[in-house]
Amino acid sequence: MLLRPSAHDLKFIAHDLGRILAVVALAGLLPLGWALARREWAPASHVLVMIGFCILAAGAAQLIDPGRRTKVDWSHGLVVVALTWLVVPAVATIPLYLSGHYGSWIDSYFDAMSGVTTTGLAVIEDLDHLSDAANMWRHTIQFLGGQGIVLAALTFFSASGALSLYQAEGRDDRIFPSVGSTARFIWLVSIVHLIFGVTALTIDGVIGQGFTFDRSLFHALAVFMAAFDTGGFSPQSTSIAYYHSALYEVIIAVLMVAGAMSFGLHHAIWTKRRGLVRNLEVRTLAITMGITIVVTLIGLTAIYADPSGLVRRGLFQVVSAHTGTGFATVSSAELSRWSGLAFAGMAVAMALGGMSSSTAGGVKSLRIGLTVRALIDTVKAALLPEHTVMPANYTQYGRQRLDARLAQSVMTVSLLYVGLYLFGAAVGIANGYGLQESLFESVSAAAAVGLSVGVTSPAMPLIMKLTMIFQMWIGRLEFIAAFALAGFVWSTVAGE
Amino acid sequence: MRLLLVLSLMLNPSHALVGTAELDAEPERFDDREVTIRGEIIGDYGYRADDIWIQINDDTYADTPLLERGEPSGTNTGIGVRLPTGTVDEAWGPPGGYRVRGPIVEVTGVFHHADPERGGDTYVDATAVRLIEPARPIAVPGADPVLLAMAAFMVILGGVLWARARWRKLNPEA
Amino acid sequence: MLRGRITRGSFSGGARGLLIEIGAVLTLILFAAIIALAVTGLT
Repeated sequence: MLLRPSAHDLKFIAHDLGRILAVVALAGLLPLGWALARREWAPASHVLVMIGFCILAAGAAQLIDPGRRTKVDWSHGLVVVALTWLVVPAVATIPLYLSGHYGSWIDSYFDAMSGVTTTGLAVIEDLDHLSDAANMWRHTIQFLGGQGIVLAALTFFSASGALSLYQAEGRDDRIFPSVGSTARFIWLVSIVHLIFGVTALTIDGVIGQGFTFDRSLFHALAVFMAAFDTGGFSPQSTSIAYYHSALYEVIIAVLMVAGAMSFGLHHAIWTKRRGLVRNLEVRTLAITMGITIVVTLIGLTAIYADPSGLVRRGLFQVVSAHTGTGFATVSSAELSRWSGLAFAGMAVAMALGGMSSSTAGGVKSLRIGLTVRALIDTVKAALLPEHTVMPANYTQYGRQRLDARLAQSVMTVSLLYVGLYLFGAAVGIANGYGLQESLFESVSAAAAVGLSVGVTSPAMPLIMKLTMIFQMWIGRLEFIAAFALAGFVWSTVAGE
Repeated sequence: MRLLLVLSLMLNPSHALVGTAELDAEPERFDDREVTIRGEIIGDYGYRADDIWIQINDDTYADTPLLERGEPSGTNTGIGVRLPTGTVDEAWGPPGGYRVRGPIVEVTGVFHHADPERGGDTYVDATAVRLIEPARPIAVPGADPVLLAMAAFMVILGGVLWARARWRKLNPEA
Repeated sequence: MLRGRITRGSFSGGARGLLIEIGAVLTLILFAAIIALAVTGLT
C-alpha cells in the first residue's frame, strides 16, 4: 500500500532544503569577495541577489517547525537529496544568468547542473570576456558539488537523520562513526590539497608561464577547484590547452587522481593502513586505468607520430576521462578525430569513472570490481561440482563478503548506468548526430566527465540540453535518490 | 628585432588570413605551413624565459565583446601563439578580459598541429606580429540598484524570519 | 579524542598522501612512455 505523504513529511523536506540553501549563501562569499577585490560591481550585485535569496529561503525554512522526527526515515533523506540537487543548481543559476553570457535560462541551468555535478560540459558564450567573479562562481559550485552539497550543509548544521542524508548523496563509506567527524575529515583532506595545489599551480603560473601573480592565483584557484573535485570547467575557453605547460598538466593530473580517490582511501593512506595493494577498488582502478591508457595510446599512433606528444596528450586525456574531470589539452574538433581504438579507450575510461565516495562520476571502480568478481564466481560455480562451498570474499579495508544481495544491487546500478549511456546516445542520434559523437557526449554527461567532441554547444536542440541535464543529475545521484523522489511524487498523486 | 619583423612583413605583404576555426577543423592542411591569423589577445601575456605565449581569439567577440554586443552569439574560438621575446609592446595595452577588449594583432607564423619539439603542442610559432588596433576599455556596468535593493530586502527579511524562529524555539510556551 | 587524532596525524598524513598521489602520476607517465615507445617502435 502506498502512503500519501503527510504535511509533516513535507515540512521536514522544506525545513532541510532551506537549511541546505544557507550553505549556497556561504559559498557565494568567495565570488562576492573576488568581485569586491576586483571592483566588479555588477557581478557583485548578481551574487548578492543569490545570497539574499538563499538567506530568505533558509530563514523561512527555520520558521517551519517540523517537530520531532519520529523515526529514521530513509526516504526523507533520499527525497531531500534528490530535490537539493535540482534546487541548488537552479539557485546557483542566478549570477550566471544575470551575467548575460547565456542564450537562455535553460543554458545557464545546464552549466549550473554541470557545475554542481562536477561534469564540466559548458554552453557559456564568450567565456573569455566573463567577469572574474562570475568565473569564480562557476568554479566554486563545482567545489561545493564535489564535496557534496548536503555534506557541506551537515558540517555546519546538525540535522536529525544526518546519516540518511549523507548516504543518499552517494557517500557510502563512513570513515568515522559520526557523520560530523567524517565531514571534518573530508574538508581536511580537501584543504591540504587546496594548499598544495594552489601553491604549486601559482608558482608555475608566475615562474613557468610568466603570468602576473594575481592572474596566476586566479587561474590556480579556479583550476584547483575544477581538478580536485573532478569538475572540468576551465577559466578560459581553450581549457588546459590555454597554458601550454607540461608541468601545469602534471600538477593537474596529481589533483585529478587525488580527486578520483575515495575519501576512505585518503584516510587509509593518512593513517598508514596496510593492505591497500590488495584493496579491490584500488586494484580495479589501476587495472582499468592501465588498460584504457594502452588502448588509447595504440589508437593514437595513427594520429600522432611522435612519442612525446602521444604520451602527453594521450595520458592527460585518459586521466581526465577516467577520473571524470573533463579537462582537455586538445580542442573538441581534435578530440572528435580520435577514432577507432582511441575513441574506445576514452569512452570506456569515461564510462568506468573513479572510486565510489570520491568526487568522480561513472559506474565507479568498486562496482566494476565486484561485477567482475561476481561473474568469475558464477563461472566457477558452473564448472565446479554442484555442492562445492565457495568462499566469496573481497578485500576493501578488511575482508568483506560478496553475497548475492550485494552482487545484485551492484549489478543493477551498473546496468542502469549502461542504460543511461545508451539512452543519451539514442537521443543524440535521433537529433541527427553521429553514433560515435552521440555516444561520447552521452557518456561524458552521464558519468560527470565533461569532455566534449563538439556536440555540446549553445546551438544544441533543447531536447538534448534537457536530456543531458537529466543524465548529469541522475548519474551524480547514482539513481537511488532520484527513484525515491519519483516514488515520492507518485505517492502524493496515487497514495492513500 | 622590431625592424626585422617589419621588414619581413613588407617582403610578404599579402598573406591570406586563416580563421583559427579552419586550423582546428583541418589541421593537416595547414600543418607546418606559414599562416596569418588576426584576432584579439585574450587572457594573459605569458612572459617566459625565451619566448612569449599568448592566446588569440578571432571569434565575433574579438571586435565587440559580449557586454557591448548585448546578445550572445556563440562560443569563443582561438589558438595559442608563441611570440619571440621583445615583440610585445607596452603600447598594445592589457590582454582582453572583462574590462578590456584586448589588442587586435595580425600574426604570421608556422602552424604546428603537434610539434614534437614542444611535447606535441598545437600552436602558431610566430615570425612576425603587427598591431592592428590597441586594447581599449569596455564600459562595464555598475551595480544594479534594483538588484541591490532586492538583495538587501531578502537578507533582512530572512534574518527577521530566522530570529523569529530562534525566539520561538527559546520560548516554546509563548 | 577523534579530533585530536586527526590533527596530530594530519601533517605527516597529508604529506604521505600527496607523495603517493605524485608517485601514482609519475608511474602512469612512465608506464605511458614505455607503451608509446613500444608501440611507435613496432609500427
